[in-house]
Amino acid sequence: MKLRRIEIKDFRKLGHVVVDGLGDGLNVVVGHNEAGKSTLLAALRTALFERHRLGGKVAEDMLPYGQAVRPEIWLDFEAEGASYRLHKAFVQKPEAELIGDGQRWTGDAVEERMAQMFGFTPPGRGESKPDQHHGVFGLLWVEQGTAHRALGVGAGRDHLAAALEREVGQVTGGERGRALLAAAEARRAEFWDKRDNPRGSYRLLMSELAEAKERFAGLEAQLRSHEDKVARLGAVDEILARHAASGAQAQAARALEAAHKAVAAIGTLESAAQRAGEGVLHARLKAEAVRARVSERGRLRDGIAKAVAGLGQAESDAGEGDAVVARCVTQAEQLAGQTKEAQTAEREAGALLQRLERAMRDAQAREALDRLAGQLEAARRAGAAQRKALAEAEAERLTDKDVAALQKLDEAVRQHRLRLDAAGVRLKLVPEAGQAARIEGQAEAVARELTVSADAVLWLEGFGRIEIHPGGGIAPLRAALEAAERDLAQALGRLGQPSLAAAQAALARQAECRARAEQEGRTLAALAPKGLDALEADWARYQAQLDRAQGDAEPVDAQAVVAARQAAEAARGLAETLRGAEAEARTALERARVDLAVRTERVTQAKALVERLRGELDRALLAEPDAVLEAMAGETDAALAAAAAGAVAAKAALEAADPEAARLEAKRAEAAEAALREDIERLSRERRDLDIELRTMGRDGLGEARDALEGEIAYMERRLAQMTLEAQGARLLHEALVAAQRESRDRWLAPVRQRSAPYLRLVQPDSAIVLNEQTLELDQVVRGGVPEPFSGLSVGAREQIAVITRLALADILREAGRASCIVLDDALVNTDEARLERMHLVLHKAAENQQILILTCRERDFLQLGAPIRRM
Amino acid sequence: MSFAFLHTADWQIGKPFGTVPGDAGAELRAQRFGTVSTIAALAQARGVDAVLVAGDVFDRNEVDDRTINRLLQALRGFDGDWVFLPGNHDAALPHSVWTRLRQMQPGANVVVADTPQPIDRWGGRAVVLPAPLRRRREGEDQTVWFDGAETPPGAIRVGLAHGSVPTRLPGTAEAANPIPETRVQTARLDYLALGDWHGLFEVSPRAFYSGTPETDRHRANSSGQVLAVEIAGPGAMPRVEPIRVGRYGWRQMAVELLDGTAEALLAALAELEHEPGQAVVSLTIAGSISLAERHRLAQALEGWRARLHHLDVDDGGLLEDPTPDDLDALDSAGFVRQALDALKAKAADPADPEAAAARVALRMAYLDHMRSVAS
Repeated sequence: MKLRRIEIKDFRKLGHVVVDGLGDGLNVVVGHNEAGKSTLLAALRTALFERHRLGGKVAEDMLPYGQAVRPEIWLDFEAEGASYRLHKAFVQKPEAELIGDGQRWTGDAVEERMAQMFGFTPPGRGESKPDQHHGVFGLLWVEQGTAHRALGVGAGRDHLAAALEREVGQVTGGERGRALLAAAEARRAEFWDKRDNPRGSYRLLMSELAEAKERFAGLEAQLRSHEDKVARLGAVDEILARHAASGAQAQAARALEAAHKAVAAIGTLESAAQRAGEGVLHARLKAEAVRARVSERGRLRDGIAKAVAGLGQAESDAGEGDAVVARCVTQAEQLAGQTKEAQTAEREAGALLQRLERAMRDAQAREALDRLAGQLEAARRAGAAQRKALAEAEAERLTDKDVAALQKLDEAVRQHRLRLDAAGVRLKLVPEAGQAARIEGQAEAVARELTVSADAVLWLEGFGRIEIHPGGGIAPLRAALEAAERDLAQALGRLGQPSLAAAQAALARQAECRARAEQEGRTLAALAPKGLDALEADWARYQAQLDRAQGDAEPVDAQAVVAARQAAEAARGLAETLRGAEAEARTALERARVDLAVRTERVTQAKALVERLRGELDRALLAEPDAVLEAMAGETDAALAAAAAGAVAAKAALEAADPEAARLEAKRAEAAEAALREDIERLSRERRDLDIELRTMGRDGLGEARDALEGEIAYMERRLAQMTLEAQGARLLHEALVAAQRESRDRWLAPVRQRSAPYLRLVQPDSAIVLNEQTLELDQVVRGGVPEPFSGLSVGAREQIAVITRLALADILREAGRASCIVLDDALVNTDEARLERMHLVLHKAAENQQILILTCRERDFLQLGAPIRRM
Repeated sequence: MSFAFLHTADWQIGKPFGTVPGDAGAELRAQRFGTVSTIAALAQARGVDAVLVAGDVFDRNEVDDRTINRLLQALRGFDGDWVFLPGNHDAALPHSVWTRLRQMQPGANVVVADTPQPIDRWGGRAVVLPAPLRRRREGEDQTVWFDGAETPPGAIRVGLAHGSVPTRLPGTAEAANPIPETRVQTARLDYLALGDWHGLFEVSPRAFYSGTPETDRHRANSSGQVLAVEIAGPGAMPRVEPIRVGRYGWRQMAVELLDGTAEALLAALAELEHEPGQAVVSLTIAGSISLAERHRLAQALEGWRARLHHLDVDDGGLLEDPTPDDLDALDSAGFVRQALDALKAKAADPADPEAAAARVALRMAYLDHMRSVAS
């Protein structure tokens, strides 16, 4: 279809608009905002799709605001090789007229004819809906701001699909194909779930079969056990039968009895041997008892003999002891006498020595006394002198410190005087004629040179008076001087000295006294090193000594003293020795006495023993004379011999009977009999138990259950195999159909890729468009091999691709006989300049085969397009 | 002094028929007792002296007590002697179905021949020499003692044994429970009643297998009968009459479809028109067939399944071979056709492990198509 002329009157904001001279290819209609270019598109749609008798709100919306007018639209177009003019008037006196191809339609027939021509469905009542009623025009007439959204295939889908199919030259299967696919999918879903696992009755059969197999295995096991039990039962029966047949039990019993008998016999022999043994024991005991008595007697006799001997010995010992004692007594007496003599001599020698020594000491004392007298005298004198000197020193109550202080004070006075003098007025008197001068108040004349340190009046002879007032500063000096003099006087007074010189002299005297005292002291010390008192004491002692001596002054010879001393020494020594010897002798005597006592005691004991033993022997002989005892010993010995012989015989008999073997045999026989009995009992029990068990199993009907189950399992397995095949077939069928469909669609949508490729190359190289198979909407764009969702692209890119896709689809539709013009209302407003240039190329290319009407407010954008421009 | 008896064997009481599910299986199981009642009625009507059952009375020793009781009930129809020989399925073990049966108060006319001792109950007219199996697997011939068995003079000697006559039975070379064909002569038997082979079979004029009275498997072996035997006197030739007592007919059919259609099968099934309700059929189908025909075949089989007592179909050897018409019917062009072509290629490739599944897939597609066409 190609539009040639559009005239609009009283339609919304368009009062009267004519767009004329639309060519075959590109046409640009420029209208600035509010000029109404979108209204133009709306008017086109209205003219084509709305029923002229449309009422209600939609019709009112066609009216310009607030006006009650009659919107009219004239449309000149070419379609199917013929020219047509369409005229519709709305709202008031609605009209429709279509003239063309040598025919004329009016009224509703116009809409029918239009629908027929352009393959759309007119709306029944009310407003048309683009996606239902506008056929492919919804796709190809793009309103402002919608370019980048979905293509809006809508009702044009089938046209498009048909066009594509025609293009591909293949019937896609249509409804029936889809129905088969749906059936295959449903059947597949019967067998398989979404994760391709068995489900439903298929899975149920599998699990039932598995369960049945389990049960079968269980039954088989039980039956096997049953079989085993039956076999066991047979075996048990066999053994029991064998036992019964062979009479083993009776035989065992007999053997046992025989063994017991043998054992009993052995027992008898054993007890006989035992008894014999006991007899021997008895006899031995008796014989030994007698023997014991015999030897006992012998011992007694021996004992007596020994005791007698002992007694003899003891007596002789005692005799010896006596002798010793006697000897000791003698010796002790002897020594006692000697000792007494020695002691007397000693005493005499001592007395002599004492006398001599005393005399010597007295002489010595006299000498000392004389010596000491002189010494004492001198010492006394020195002491007195010393005391005196010290007293003198003490009288002068003066110390160095005092004198030093006095000196200082004196010095101070002198200093002050000097200062005063210095501060005083120095007068040098030079009388012309030797006149005198005198200080008033003083009698004597003054010297020729003098210093006046205080107010003074100087009387000059022959002159008169001179009042002298020494200058300032002198008063304090004078005061100080007076103070110092006062201090000095005070100090002197305190010390009781008239003057410093006196004090010094006193101090010197004191020192001298002290020195003297010291000297005396030294002398005293020399004389009486230990002190005077000690000296006095010595003297007194000697004196006392002499007093005591009382004039027994015989001359003493030192040698005599020495000799006397030696003699006394010797005498004492001798006495000592003898005293010691005597002591020893006494000790020895004591010992000997003790010893004797002991020996005597021994003798007594020995006697007693002999007595006792003899008594015993007498009693024993009385009770049992020797002869009787001997006889008894002989008897018992004989009895013992006999018993021993008997025991030996009994033992031999026992051994001959082989007790060990008999016992072993008895044990064996017992064990054998018991084992046999137990075996038979056990088997009988087992047989009973098995019988009961088997009977119970019979009630359970295991065998039939197993066989039945076996058949069921076989049946189920066959069914499962069949069902598996069906399940696989269902899946295979579905998969094959899906794959085939997909492949066919790929081929089917190929034209879109092909047609859009050259356009895309101009704007978005290395890209491909992918439409959704079902809806034929833009799904994806593959760029550089990477698919991206259409919605993820920028608005500009989407605009471009959407426009290109529409161009491609328009191509396809045109080739299928559905030519239509494309209307783009500001469809590329988001595209950058560079791409816009390229889009112009695209549009040019497309316009070679297609009428394209561009409505825009951006004249500049399309100036370079090279298309005729109309302005609204 | 004649002696008349029924010779039967291999009742297999307690056989489960597990491969026949549901009611059909239950009915087969129940019929085993039903056939015993039939035999009892027959014996009573004919007034025979005894019914000799030559082994495998029970399917196994471990049958339910209830099963034993039901059998005893079924035996009540005949008050003559029932002589049961333990076979290999129901050997006379120390604890066996026979020890249990004895404890259930069977009537005095129920004789369990579980010892190799002559049975003399008919006033000296006849003596039955049984060769019971006392173990599950008996490698030796149990009839050896027949030769030396003493019987009263003038008594008819009837042997009763269970096993195989290796030289005579078709195709059995196994030596389990062997019975030499000369036994009749060496033991001076007037008749040898044999069991173990489930079909009626004459070993020699005096030695017969009666077969099972109620067929229990799909082999064509003329089972479902009992033998009515009458011997006039010792040394006389026995008169043997087979009598049908079985109810269900077991058939095994194999059909090969070579022309791509189901015709051959439908023709074969038509043979079952006579009493289909008593037919237990095992059907094996092989060959190749178009999808359309497969559909037709499936419908036919469904119909027959409802009419037969039980139908077991093995169609593993039947291959779908979709014709172009088949595929066109589904989709002349478009992705469906593409898918079908791929599946057809898969199905035709023997090396493809999914070939069988692909065939099933094709069948399903066709089925869906037929359904959608129908709706």
